[in-house]
Amino acid sequence: MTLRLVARGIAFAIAIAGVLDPAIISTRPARPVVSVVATGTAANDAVVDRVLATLGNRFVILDAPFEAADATILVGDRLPDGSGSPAGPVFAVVPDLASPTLRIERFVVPSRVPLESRVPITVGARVTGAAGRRVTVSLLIGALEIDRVEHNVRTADERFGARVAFIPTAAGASLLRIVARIDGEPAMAVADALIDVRDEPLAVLFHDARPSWMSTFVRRAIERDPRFTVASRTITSRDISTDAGQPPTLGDAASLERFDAIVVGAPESLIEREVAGLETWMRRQGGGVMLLFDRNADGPYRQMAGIDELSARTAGTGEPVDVATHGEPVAPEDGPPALRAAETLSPAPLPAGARTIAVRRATQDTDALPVIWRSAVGAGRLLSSGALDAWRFRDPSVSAFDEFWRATVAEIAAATPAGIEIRIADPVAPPGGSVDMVVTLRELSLSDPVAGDTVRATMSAVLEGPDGSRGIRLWPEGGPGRFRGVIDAPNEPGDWRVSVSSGNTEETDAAVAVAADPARAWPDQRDLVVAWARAHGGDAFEHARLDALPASLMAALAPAPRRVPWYPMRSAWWIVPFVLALGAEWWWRRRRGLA
Amino acid sequence: MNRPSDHPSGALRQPAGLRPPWSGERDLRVFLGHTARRLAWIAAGEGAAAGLLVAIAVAVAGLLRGGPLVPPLLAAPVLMAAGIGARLLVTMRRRRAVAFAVERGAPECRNVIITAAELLDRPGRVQPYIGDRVMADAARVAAAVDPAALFPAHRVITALIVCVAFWAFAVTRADARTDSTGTPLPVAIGSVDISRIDAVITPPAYAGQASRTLSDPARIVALAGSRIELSVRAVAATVTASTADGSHTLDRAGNTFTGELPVEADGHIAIEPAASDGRTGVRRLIGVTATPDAAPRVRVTEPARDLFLPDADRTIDVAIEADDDLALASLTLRFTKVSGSGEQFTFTDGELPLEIVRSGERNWTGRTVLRLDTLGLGPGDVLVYRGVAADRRPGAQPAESDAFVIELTSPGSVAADGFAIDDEMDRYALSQQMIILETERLIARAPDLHSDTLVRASLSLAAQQRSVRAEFVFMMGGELAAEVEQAAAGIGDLHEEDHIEADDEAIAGRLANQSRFALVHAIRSMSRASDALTRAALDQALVEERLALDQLQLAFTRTRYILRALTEREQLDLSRRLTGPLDEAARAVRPAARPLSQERVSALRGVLAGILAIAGSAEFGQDAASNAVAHAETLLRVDPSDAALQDIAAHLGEASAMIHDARAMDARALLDRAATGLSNAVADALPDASSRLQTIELNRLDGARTDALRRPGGGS
Repeated sequence: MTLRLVARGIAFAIAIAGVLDPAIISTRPARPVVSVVATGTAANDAVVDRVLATLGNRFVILDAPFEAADATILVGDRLPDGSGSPAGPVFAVVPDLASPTLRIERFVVPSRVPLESRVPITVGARVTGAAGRRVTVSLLIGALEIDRVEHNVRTADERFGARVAFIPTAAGASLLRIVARIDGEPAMAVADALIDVRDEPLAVLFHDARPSWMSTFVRRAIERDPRFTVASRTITSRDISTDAGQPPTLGDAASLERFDAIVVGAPESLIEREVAGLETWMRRQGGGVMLLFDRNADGPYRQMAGIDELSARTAGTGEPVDVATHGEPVAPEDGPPALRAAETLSPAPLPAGARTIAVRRATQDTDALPVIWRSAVGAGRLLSSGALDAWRFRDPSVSAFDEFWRATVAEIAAATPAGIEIRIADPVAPPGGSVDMVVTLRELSLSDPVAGDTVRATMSAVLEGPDGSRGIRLWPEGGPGRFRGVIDAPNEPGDWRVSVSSGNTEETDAAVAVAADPARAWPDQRDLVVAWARAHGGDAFEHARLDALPASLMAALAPAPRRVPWYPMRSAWWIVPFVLALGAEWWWRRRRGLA
Repeated sequence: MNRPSDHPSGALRQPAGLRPPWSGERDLRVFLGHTARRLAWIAAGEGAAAGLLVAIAVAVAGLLRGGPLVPPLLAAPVLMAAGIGARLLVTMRRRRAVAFAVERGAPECRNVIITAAELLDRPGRVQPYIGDRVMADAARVAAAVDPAALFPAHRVITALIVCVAFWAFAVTRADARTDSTGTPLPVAIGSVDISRIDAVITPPAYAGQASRTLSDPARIVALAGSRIELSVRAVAATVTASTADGSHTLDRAGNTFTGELPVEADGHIAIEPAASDGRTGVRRLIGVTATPDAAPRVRVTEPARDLFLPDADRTIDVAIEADDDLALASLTLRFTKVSGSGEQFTFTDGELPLEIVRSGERNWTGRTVLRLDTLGLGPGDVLVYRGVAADRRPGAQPAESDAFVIELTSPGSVAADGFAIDDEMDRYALSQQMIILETERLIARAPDLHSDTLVRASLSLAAQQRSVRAEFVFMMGGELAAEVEQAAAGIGDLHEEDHIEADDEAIAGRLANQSRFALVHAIRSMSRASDALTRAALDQALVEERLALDQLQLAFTRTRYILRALTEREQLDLSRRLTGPLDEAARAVRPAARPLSQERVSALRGVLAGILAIAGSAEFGQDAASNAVAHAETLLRVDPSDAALQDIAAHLGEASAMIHDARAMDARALLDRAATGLSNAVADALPDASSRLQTIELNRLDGARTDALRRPGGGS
């Protein structure tokens, strides 16, 4: 009887207390709200889990950016995206330098390359904690490895560059992937890039104001290279010339539009109208002009080139002319020099704003002298060569004459902008992602409103792919002729092309790839992250020191005690004694035969 | 009832403890053991026959589906072993209960053998005399039982013989795959496969090398002229072997296809099986490297120099070494005697035997003594001799060493015994630079020289200077217009003073060509130098000599061509030149130049694209294996002797086999290696693409900066 009453009383008491829901006020430290933000790759997800486990229930944790948080914990070796300031002090959890870590910091490829070329690619990587081990860097297209290099790691924290090469096999976009791995480690670093291979030869015009051996042999070197299409005019007498490929006259800048580079032989024989045409072409269309001197003579070209004086130097035999880096000659490690010349011209002084391209090697009697130099004329480029008789030493065993001029002309020509320039920030996008693009209309961008230029243009952009096309809205931004747009990547992986047209005259396209899991190369910002955390009142912890994070976090936050109401009846566990009490009471009654 | 021993071998086991044997016990144990072994053999025979039957059945079933017949048949031993094992396992219990089996077959034994077997198993259960009695009875009864009659084996043996015979017949006839009329059975494309390739390489007979056999070779390296006997085991209607020279259908004998191919040059052999309907299966590719038989190398090691002798009353020891990559066939000394004078020479060839020492078949040394007096050489005659060696290659041209000369010099021309040099030889070596050098040396020695000696030396230099000048006068065509003395006066009589006086005319531009102008200047300077040297005015002469050198450099470095008068025979026909009125001149148009064709690079890039198509996707396509072989073949066609391409082709060939065998990971690794190697092979032939980042904004910024710098005060 007693037991029955006790059990019934307990059940009633629990029910009544539940209805009343009493509150108990206590004073205790508040649980700080901490925002945990992961940056970098999926490899950090495991670290985030460790951080959450370490923090336990002493904190209210949000694994996302939260502006009202008491503190922010940054997991990874990269600063977070966005410009918003973090909430509260910042603590960082960065990779342990002692454990083997590999990151691809740089993987940049030219956005478009000619088909008939080899694309050298330098991959920048940082490897830590792997001294004495070997790193393998592979270049893949799809699942196929097409090049690989190995690097022996010497120090505990090392940055290195790995050179691989991509050989285009067909025109179109190719999605390249770099996979780097420390031998014996399961994890690998990955980065993707898109390269657009074009089978569009560079158009080069050779104009010899009189017959010139120098220009002739440079032209022959270029003509043999499938990357170029060459038109030429050699003026042999007044109004008499030998032409190939329908060359226009230099005096008409508009007729030069189809060319990417113009090579001028015997420039001292150019008349003023031709020089003016060349300058206009460079300034309005950003074209590249090369002046190949074969003697020292004055002419209208000097004002355009900014040349005051040209000093000649003669030697009995050909002397090496080396390609210059930052003005200093760099002799090739093996093989002949870039050029060799007995007679050279050097500007005295070097034209303002000019850059030295090649230097005649210093001798016991003379210093090194700039022989080939380059300067800007408006948006165009002007290269002048004072290697007067370099053509005499063009034997491949004596100098790399052909290779040098092919590379130089290719670079000058490739820098000539198209009528419409499309720049895509990151052309490898995840499905459904967004990609920023900038479109520049050359005619507008290089116009001179002060000079009374009036240019009108209409622009349209579409994203074309296997599933049709969709429009892209372009917004004017920055200077004239510059537009910005956002490409909404389709949801299905595949190759797409952004096509931009200006009226009915110009159309340019660029490649965009949608990949299932694109990876980007990121510079290792570990040091920045550490500094950033400390600048925001926090600290940085390596993975091995993660246990110290809660204490440090608590010390930094120092949560003040506060009165906190406690509602004991709001626990679901009360259902257990309630049911037990009712069950005991029911069992007792059954045993006694009561209803 | 108690069971007898569970161990048939236990019948022979000695009983535990020290118990005297029962009478007849040994006989009974022998009987039971013999019977147990017989039962085991019968069971094994039954199992073997069953295994063979299964193998034959599988083969026949496969044959009906058009599949290969041989593999199931070759699996017969395994199936037989499995059958034996299974049968022995199944009959184990029966064989352990031998006594039961005997009593079942011979009921007249009345269980006495069973009882005896139980006693043998548990001997302690009965008194000795009872054991004696039971054993004796059992032995007696067992003696009357014939195990061969009780457990006959003839049926098992017969079945086994029949199965083995049928299997042997099938194996021996399986290769033929013919029907009853001898016509080959049709082969479906699904079953076409090459299982093995044997290549017997037989070097040419003259090489004296043994044949060697390679199995499934990826590459064959053989001496040029060798023959390759191919033996291809394949399931196919036909097998062809293709080389650069064409395709050859291999002879068929069952499932073995044979043929013989010559090795003449680098290349490859593509072996392609085909089904009855003509469709082809996956090809196998074998690279072939033909190693040429190198010609022998011969060297005269003694005296190994030209000799100039005063007379023929001498003997000369001659030693010759020769070696060959395979074997030498002969080594001789051949000579040519040249006698006569003026334009009347007689050439007489001869050969001298050598005393040959053979270090082996490859290295020989020959020695002989040249007795000049026996060769009839006279003064001025020349004997040219050289070693000649031949290897054993039929039709090969003998190799010769460098030839050396023995000359009997004319009287008075010998400078020293055994060696002579033309006194005038240094005349051709003179140069203006040497004149300068000699003059500088003379000036340096002048203080120590007597005046007469100095004048003589100076006069000698003047003569040399005139000699050099004469060379250039010859170069100018032998005449220097009116300013030169008449040619009839001879080069040596050129008048330096006239040259000096003619300077004014030259400077006046009469001789407009710069090179000719410089050359005339040089000759004038040489004349002045010679004049100064004649007067022993060394310093003045040195100045003129250097001036002449500068002019020579100018003449030969600026335009490199020198005009000279043409003889009448060389006169230009102006009617054949592009001449005419100037107003008729027009613009010439030449065709645009076409870039050089890079067939090799194009082919290699095509193969690289092909590999990308094979391995670029997650799974291999249906034609991946055959495409890989086709690409390997393309590579070997591009350059059969390129070692790098040979390796890449081998990787592709192996990858094809891996794809065919569904070993995707191995195939991908090989394709990776092939693609990497191919990239490296192509990379050197292609120019680097420009990687410079250029934008309109950057270009415009650069131009604006330059413009600002060039404005007045911009650079400050």
